[in-house]
Amino acid sequence: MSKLSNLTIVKAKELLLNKEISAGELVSHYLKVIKDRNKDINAYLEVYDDAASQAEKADEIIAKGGDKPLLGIPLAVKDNILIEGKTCSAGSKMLQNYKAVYDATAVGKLKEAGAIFLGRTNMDEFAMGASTETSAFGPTKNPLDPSRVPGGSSGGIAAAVAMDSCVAALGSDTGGSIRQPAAFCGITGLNPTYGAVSRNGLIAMASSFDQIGPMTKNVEDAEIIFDVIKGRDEMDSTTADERHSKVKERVEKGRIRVGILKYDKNGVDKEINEAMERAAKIFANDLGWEVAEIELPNIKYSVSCYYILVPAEVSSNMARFDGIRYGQFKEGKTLTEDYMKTREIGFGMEVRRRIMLGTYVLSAGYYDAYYAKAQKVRGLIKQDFEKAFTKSGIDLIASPTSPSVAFKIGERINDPLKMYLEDIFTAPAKIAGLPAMSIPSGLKGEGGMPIGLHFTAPAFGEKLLFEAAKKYEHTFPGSKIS
Amino acid sequence: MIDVEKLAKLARININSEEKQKLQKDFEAILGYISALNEADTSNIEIKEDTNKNVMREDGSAHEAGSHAEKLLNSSLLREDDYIKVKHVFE
Repeated sequence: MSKLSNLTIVKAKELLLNKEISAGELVSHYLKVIKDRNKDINAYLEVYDDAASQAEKADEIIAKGGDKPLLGIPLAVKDNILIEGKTCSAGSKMLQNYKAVYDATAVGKLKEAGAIFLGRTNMDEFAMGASTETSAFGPTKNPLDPSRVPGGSSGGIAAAVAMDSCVAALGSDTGGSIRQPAAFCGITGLNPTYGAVSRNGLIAMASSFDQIGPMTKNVEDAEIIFDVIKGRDEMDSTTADERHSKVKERVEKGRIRVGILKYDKNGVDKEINEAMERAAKIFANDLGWEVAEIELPNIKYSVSCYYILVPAEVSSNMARFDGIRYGQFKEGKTLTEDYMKTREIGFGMEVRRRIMLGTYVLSAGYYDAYYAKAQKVRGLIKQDFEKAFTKSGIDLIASPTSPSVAFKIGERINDPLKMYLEDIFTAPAKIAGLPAMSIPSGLKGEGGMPIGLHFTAPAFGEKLLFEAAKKYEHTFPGSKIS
Repeated sequence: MIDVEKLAKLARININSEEKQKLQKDFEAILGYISALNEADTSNIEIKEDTNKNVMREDGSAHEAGSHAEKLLNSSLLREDDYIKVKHVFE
């Protein structure tokens, strides 16, 4: 193991500022890892040719004694987050030649903080999927077992971090797209509160759900990146400044009250149920937290609710891909035919499925039965969380991240409903707009695939997530992948 | 029974007959699953109409006219000079 193995942001910065390594050396180290492993794993769709020159700039600043939160830190970015002048394809043929004309707000903030962008990573097409198999550019493989998926939709990112080909990375989460791949690859993933991070420059899938968030090797790194990218942005009217959360004080006093989510154990891997029980014991015995069981009676409707609202938003967001202003174009005889042919060659099966499903649930005659009903159920699920965090006095809700560990490539791709059920533990927080995080919590058997532990906090309770997750991580480090 | 062909037309996507069959089957399964929502008691939930405030900026502080035009026009495959050429909307 060299001193460059498994570097976190904190460790890498220490080496950089002490001049033990240069940003240039760090970048060439990662480029070599990518060169060695990417042909098998397919985590990166493109490695940027200016990575070395970005590093040079960072080294100049370091030489002058400069410091910034992410100075000289090489990151990977999901292929749906815009970096000016770079191709951004959202894993789709529709945008395979699209060059971003501006920086996403989060990217601008990372640049400002001194970060280096190594490349863009594979994802399910337009982030629609839970395995990275719907990408138009081939599936990504799980670096821990290449016969398995890395999860999705941010599977390329999760694989890039897990194969130690970058320090940290930026993904996006709509129904679990940061947290489930993080769990599958044994890394940490944060889905921030809806509105905590600007969506400006994130290619939209479902706008009332989408959030950009960090995927990292530990909790502290997730916090560092979150602190850089968060905040109100006039380019995204749904953003808000962080609000102070009372629970923070409780954490600092060390008296967290954790609700263990009551769930149907039948649909979940035995080892994942056991890991959950072990985590509950660690909370109570090692960390001294108050532990209670919590029931959220309406989250059993989460996946149904999610797969009405999200396709509805997808059908409107995808309407912009008409071949005219950007992206692919295939000519027909009329304007309508132009649209239909362009969208036929540009969109893969899952994207079509969701557009059409959304068109259906929004169409006259079905709107009330599906869309309006799902909006009301969204209200019910929000109420469940509110009650848990107020009346029941719960600070954090803990559950598994996913009902299974990383599954085999090809195992579920032809059964969309089965793929949708992957979101069973991750969708509820999105429906309620809450921050949630997945951290490693053991392996399925010795040498087996990683298991994720999922925490959900009240809105803008990220600080609480970080403090609690750090304590758990330090107490139970046995699940780290390297 | 869902009219997949009509949906595809509404969604402006060409599909072939094989895809049509597959989608038909998928939609039946998915809609069957999501119909569980009907069991949820939502009688006490009211959906608030638009709780957003006006988020549009005031006129007057716009960027200089044309300052983004070149970049945006270059994104289109249908550029002709400073235009994007499209077919007639009404046939």
